Amino acid sequence: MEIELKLFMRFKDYLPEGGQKGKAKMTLPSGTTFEKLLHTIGMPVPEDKIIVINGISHKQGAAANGIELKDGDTVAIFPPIAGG
Amino acid sequence: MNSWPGKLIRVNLTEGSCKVEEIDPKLARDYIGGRGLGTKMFCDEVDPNVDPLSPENKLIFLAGPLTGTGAPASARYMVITKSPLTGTIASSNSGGYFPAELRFAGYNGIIFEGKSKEPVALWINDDSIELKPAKDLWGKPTHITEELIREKIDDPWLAEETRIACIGPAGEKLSRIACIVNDKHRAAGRSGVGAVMGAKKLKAVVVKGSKGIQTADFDGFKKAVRGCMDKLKNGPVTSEGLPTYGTSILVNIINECGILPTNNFQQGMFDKASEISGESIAENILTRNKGCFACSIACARMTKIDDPKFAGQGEGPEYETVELMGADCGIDDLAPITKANYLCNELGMDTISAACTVATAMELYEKGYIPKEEAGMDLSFGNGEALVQLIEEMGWRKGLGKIATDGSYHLAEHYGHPELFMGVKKQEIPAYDPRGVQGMGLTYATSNRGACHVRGYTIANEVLGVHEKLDPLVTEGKAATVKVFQDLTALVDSSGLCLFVTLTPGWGFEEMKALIKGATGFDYTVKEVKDCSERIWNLERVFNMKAGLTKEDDTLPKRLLEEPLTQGGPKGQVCRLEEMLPEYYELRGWDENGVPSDKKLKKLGIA
Ligand code: SF4
Repeated sequence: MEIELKLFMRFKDYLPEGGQKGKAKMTLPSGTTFEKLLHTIGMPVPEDKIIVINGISHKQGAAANGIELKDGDTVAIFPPIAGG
Repeated sequence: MNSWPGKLIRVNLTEGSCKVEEIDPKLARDYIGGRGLGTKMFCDEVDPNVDPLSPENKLIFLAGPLTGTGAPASARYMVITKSPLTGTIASSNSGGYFPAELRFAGYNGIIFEGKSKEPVALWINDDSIELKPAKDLWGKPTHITEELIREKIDDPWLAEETRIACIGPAGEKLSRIACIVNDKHRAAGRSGVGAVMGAKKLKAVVVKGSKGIQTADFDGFKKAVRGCMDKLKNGPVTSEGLPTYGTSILVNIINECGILPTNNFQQGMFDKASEISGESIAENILTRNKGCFACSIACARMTKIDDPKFAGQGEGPEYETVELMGADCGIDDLAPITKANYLCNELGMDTISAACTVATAMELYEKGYIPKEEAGMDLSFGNGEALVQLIEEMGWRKGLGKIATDGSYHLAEHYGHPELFMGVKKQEIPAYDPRGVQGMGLTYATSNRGACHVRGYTIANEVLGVHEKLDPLVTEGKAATVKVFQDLTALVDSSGLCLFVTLTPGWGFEEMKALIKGATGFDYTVKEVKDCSERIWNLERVFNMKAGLTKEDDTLPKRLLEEPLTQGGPKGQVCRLEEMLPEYYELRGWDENGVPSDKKLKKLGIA
């Protein structure tokens, strides 16, 4: 299956090869979880982050880590930010 | 001697007189300071049905007990008056260096009453308080006004150290979205407080102080500050997110979540969002970071535009500004956006309301409701030049700006399409579409000064997960969340701290109590400061009800309640306000019409 990964700010360092401007298309085995994706790109699982999958923000932790990704998903990961 | 509650200056502009008064300690204890105490003083002295632009309306500048003390981000003051935009109580907050300087001069606030015949400026230098003619400053933009005032001060060091708050042409011309600008780039922005200053013919307040600020319990205060500093240093947003990226870093995530207002809230995603993001600002126009008084967060951004068409330099744009002047106007070019931001500061207009008004004008134009010859420009979405031109016209009240300068409610009404006004209580909605973040819808609908994001910034939990992560699309439990955010905000706004300290995980009533207690010497408990927060919120509500507002005003534009978003995560969603509002009224102790019960008011000591 193929997903789109988007990484922002300092997380761009984890962009897999072939990615550009913080974005990469990734081919992953079906059933890959969010946690497995983090392992694949080398991002520490406990790292503080904001997770947005298909436009919905998720609470970080066990529930998000266990989300099974599907073909065509968009996964965006941001460092902790706020403002307004 | 303890500097709180201390003194304030009462200026009668009709008579041209100034006198110094003591602040009542009982009121200070019950209403903290800043927004709370200012609102209490205002309600005690002014008829809620006053015409906001008449001499009978008053204008209060008030610091909080923490302003200027050196507590983290203790930079803020509040401007309280009746709003000419919304007809509600207005309290607009600003930081920079002016608020602390006022306290260094020995005063915690100023009450302006009446109306001067000729333009004047108030000059304060410690014990010297004087109203001086300001005819030569009238008509001048804010940055030039500051420079002209400094030129009048002989000693160059003194000139440099003097702090100034003033209005621009927009305030003089009674624009209902005019702000009060201090330190050139900081603004008490919302609800048209600048027009009230303009109506009083008060151009500027000039302050220099040399006194110290004494806290009541120095050791206790120091301990509380140290604890809070540690929290700030360990908080990822206040130690890294805001200092490194500023507020505009939100553009990408808010777009990713499908709640980035685009083309006057017609959509929630903008395909060119990355062009106007915080990253793009850092890469293309940033010159340096900047902070307000005693603030380690230093979230402000100094920028420079080289493009000759839009050349200039200054502060900003912040998230709300870049989003609303950008995506909400369909514009993907930072140059005109930043130029329009500079113009708002120079001409003295609220960037949020001004930007939304341009977005409304663009929709009215595209739908053919503003005739081409009346527009005088191509107001199509995406036209950066039109953004700059209309903002300029609004600042000077000329061309289409004659109508647009009173905000998008008046503009949409004027052209017969009030449904295109995206606001609440006649004030424009900031840069989060509540269809994809339900709690924000309730925040907007119930804010006591009309649509506002900083009266209960539930984005922190619903999207960013700062304290705990909530599901943005559910309504369950949001009434309680909104109430807590509103109350804590009322407390922070009254204290003199910047609201951004609350973006630190675990920063709540306890931390605020410790700081306020140390500074004031009032022996508050956490329960008591919570009661103060509720008292402030309810007093504002009571004022608004007496001013004629009703439950019908606690609502959102039809578009946000009935037209679903069409893209991204919240596709198909509207804001389900009706699922939250009754519960919210109940939690507040209000009846089904949103009227605070006698019992509630008695308990809070308001009735
Ligand atoms: S966080 Fe930003 S706005 Fe708030 S006081 Fe600090 S620099 Fe000013």
